[in-house]
Amino acid sequence: MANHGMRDRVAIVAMGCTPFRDHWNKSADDLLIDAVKESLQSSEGLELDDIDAFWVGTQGSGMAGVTLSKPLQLKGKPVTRVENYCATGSESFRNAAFAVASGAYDIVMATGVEKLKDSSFAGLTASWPPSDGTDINWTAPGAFSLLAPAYAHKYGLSEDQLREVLTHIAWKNHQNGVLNERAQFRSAVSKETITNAQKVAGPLGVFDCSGVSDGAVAAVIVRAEDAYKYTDRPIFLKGLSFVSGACDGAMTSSYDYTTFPEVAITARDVYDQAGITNPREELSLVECHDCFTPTELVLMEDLGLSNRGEAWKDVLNGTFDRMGEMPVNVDGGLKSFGHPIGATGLRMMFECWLQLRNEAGERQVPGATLAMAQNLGGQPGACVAFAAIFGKSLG
Amino acid sequence: MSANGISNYGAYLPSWKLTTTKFGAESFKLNSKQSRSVSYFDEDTVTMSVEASCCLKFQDSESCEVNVATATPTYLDKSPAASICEVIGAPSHTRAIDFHGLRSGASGLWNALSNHGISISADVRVSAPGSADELAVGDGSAMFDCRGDEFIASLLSSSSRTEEFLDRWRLPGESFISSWDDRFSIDIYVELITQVATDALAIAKLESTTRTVVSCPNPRAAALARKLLKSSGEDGELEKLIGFTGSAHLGLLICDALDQSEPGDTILAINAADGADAFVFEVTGHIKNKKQSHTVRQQAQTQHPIAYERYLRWRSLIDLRGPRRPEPDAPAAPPMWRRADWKYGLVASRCLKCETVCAPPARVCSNCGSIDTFVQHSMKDLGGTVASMTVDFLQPTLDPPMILAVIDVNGGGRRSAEVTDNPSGEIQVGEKLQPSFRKIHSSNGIHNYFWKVRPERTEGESHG
Repeated sequence: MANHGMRDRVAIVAMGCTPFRDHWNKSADDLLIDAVKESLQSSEGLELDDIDAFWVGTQGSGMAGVTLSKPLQLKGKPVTRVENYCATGSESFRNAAFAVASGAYDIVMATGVEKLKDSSFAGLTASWPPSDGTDINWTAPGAFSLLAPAYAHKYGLSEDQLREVLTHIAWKNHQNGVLNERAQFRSAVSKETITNAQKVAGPLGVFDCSGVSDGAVAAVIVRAEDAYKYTDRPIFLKGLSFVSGACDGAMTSSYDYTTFPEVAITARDVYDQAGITNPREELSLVECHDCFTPTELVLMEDLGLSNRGEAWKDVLNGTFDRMGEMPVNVDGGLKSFGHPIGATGLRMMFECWLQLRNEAGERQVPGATLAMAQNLGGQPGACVAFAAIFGKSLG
Repeated sequence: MSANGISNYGAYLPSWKLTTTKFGAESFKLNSKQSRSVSYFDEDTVTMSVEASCCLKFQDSESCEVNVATATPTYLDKSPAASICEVIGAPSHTRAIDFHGLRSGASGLWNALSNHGISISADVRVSAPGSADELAVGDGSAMFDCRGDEFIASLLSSSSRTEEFLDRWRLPGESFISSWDDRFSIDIYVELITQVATDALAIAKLESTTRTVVSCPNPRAAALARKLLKSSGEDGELEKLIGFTGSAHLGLLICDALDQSEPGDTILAINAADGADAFVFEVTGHIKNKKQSHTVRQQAQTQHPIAYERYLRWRSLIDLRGPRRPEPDAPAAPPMWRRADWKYGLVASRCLKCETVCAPPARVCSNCGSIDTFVQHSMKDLGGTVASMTVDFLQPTLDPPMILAVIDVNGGGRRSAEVTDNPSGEIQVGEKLQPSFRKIHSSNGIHNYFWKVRPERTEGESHG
């Protein structure tokens, strides 16, 4: 029994990512076709038929592998549909990575898609199996809003201080989104607007919540030794970790809503695999799951980018700003992209792909060598957590 | 000593009252002569029956009869009594009987007294908005435990009459009470009431009683009958505070009389509807140990006044659009049945190896991982402390915004629950909350019940 890790075993050699939008004129099929087509174009001479096996992640935009094989008319190819809450896109990548690492296939594709805007509901919805009707049907903002007062209480922040911290996170990620043509929201939002926004749940206003959008992403993965056959600038997987929580935080009184224990475990695991001892110094950038502003705040500590109880100060000091010491969500994050569930995890990896290939244009982090994608699903006390680290070179 | 009587009792009035039927009223002070008791939007006759029955205790091996009365059944074909028995923990040998209509409170009580059973009555009364008697009807419930032989009130006599006439009626599916001109039935009611009173007093060999209470859907008939029977009028005063509570009214009036009684007092209680039923009780020395902690009067006087608009929304008499969220799913029959202990009894599990409480009950301990080494652990009488909470404006509810709390239950275990009956609209971390059985929602014609949490009901200061 051991976790042997995934350092330098696989590489991404091609990627495509649709703009994340209200795609009124595109179906999930269209979005997948767009993302796959763009990914193939990013590696010269790569044809769809070259791909041995496929994964598609979606929470509710399709069932089974035919979600991908039908729109792309894949004949005789294995396609697996995966779902793992809001980490569904990452789960698609994770399984595809294992498939090439095992030697079962030479070249595989991980895709993720979500078509949310064909529903007119506010926020995310889900279908659950028939039940006894005793579970609270938490809304996402309701569940994640529990983090904010708990954090403020534990570390002695006043209501105004907490507001200032959350506002900074939203303000920063919207600023970053301005520079990204694929983002759903590309306007800077003033701190005043964020602070005074209509409340959604607890202290969370509209601008503390990520939006709802449509999008799809595709990545082509091969074994590390084959990477340069497909591109001169592959990105190499340095570590890969996933934890599915026991949901005991929601059942036992020891959990205090100021951390995601599942995330902290994946962070330690993925740093070990990548040989990272000081993530804040060694990582060039971090893409994290900023579904709500307090989520990003707590994640900074769970990922070891801030000491416990100090992330709020680092946020206010600009540590995680695009030009700061440790850029977080330089692409704009869920805040600017919205959260098409099956696509989000792969969208984070797409930013790692651009940054490590020096293709991020105006928002390029100079000299980026190591990037992290951190994606989670569920809710505080009951979540699933994913983390991956990518590097621009082997070794 | 009579062989029949009441050994324990419980009354429940919801936490709210309506004092005005004016839109946009700035003051809810009781400036009119009448106010009505209002159940919260998540209450119905099943949940209020449970509230009135919270003091009931059962032996597992007991054969028991539970008589449930209401004019507002939650289902027509399905027995509300079965749901109530599951929640109150009645043993499996229980015979559960449903009574229907405005006379049902008296019928259920008579049955319980005759068979040493339990009588529960509850009603939610709704008059059409704008009608003259909108504040004259109200919501509430009452329970009488007639088991055992240590009676707090022995039954001395009873008497009944039956007569067919049209006064109050309602078709299945109709929301509002229909009534004929009150003047028509006054004389009919008064004659029925005086006849059964005379008969019952004669059997009991009494000329008068310490207290006389009259329950009648026609308030003018009730007032006249009280006068003729030389009642002190306290039953009428209570009715002006809470409204006529339908099938629960007789029970609430008897509970109120018991609240005030001393050993040796006698009570004449009459219910008039489609005839009349009279009961004469003699209060015994056991009353001293069984008086309820919150009397009917205290409950009536601490009800919190609400705006007319809020009342109309709770009863779905105005449809205000909420957030754009999907309708909640209806619960499914097999999981509800499989998990009845949890759903209705709030029975969690406690690990035999490490004592950790898991809620909902779990076969694998959340602390030590032991498999299938647990015992049942009831939480329905256990309060808890708010570990975390949020106000969720995105949740559809008839009384927005919804407050959700994470509760660390006394004795172990944590669960999340919707906060109910919270007049302040606020909840603090560290606050103590109590479980309360409520209707979570109704979807596809199926009611979904479960346990919410509420601030402790206190005797508090009057909101009158």
